[in-house]
Amino acid sequence: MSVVAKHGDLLYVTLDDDIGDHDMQTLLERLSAMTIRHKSRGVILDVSAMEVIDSFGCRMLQTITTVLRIHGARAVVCGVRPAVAFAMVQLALRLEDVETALDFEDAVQLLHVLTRAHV
Amino acid sequence: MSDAGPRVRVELTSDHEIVHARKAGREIAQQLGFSTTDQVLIATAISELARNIVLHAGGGAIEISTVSSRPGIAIVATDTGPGIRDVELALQDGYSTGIGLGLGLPGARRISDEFMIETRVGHGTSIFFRKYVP
Ligand SMILES: Nc1ncnc2c1ncn2[C@@H]1O[C@H](COP(=O)(O)OP(=O)(O)OP(=O)(O)O)[C@@H](O)[C@H]1O
Ligand SMILES: [Mg+2]
Repeated sequence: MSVVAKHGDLLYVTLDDDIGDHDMQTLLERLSAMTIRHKSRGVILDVSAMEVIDSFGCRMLQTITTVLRIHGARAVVCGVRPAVAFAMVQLALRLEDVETALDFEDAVQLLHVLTRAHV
Repeated sequence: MSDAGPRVRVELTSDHEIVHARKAGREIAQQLGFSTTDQVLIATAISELARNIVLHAGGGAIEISTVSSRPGIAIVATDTGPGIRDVELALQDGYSTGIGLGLGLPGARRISDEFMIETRVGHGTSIFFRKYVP
């Protein structure tokens, strides 16, 4: 389904390919609680295992990003596969207001920039 | 059409079967020789059609098979839900009667080579999707 781990000041989340709609909702609630508990400033959402990100998946990533921002944390989505990125464009999905990075390292760097800019 | 190739039928009652349906579709697409990009496109289209059934029709089924005349995948999404009142409108980017983005149906059509909707208000909807190996 999905794994949430603490990585220094950051939360690191891997989303599995077989993550269902209901699991997404559960993940949102868990992430929300963990962000508040650990006062996390940055959350990395690793979607590299996901073979499909459809309109619902995009909407959930947007919702998670917005909710976490309300809790004072910034989220970065990383690892979108090339074929998945192409499918998203075909579907006119834009991941609006969602920060993206190539991989984990890039996501960490981006979060440093994002969270420092908000101090 | 009677096809000799693989045929998978997934009954859709909850969001869990959406994942089953798109995985089955991806597998058949792979067997047919579709590129990785096309496999993902097909799986995404199935995901959208399946979710529409779960969300808007309360249940139904997706049948995935191979086209017999030439290499290609055929997907039929059937439900006995409320039907679609205005198909033209439903096929427009950004039109949703729910809280969705309204991109699923038009997206699935863009991905397809052939796309047909049969719907009767109060009776249900059948969506026929085909994509051929280029
Ligand atoms: N199987 C169906 N039965 C009844 N109505 C449907 C069905 N599929 C689609 N619709 C109608 O067509 C509209 C457009 O569908 P579409 O998939 O494009 O958007 P959506 O499901 O609302 O949002 P999303 O972008 O999350 O898919 C829906 O809002 C719904 O009213
Ligand atoms: Mg939809």
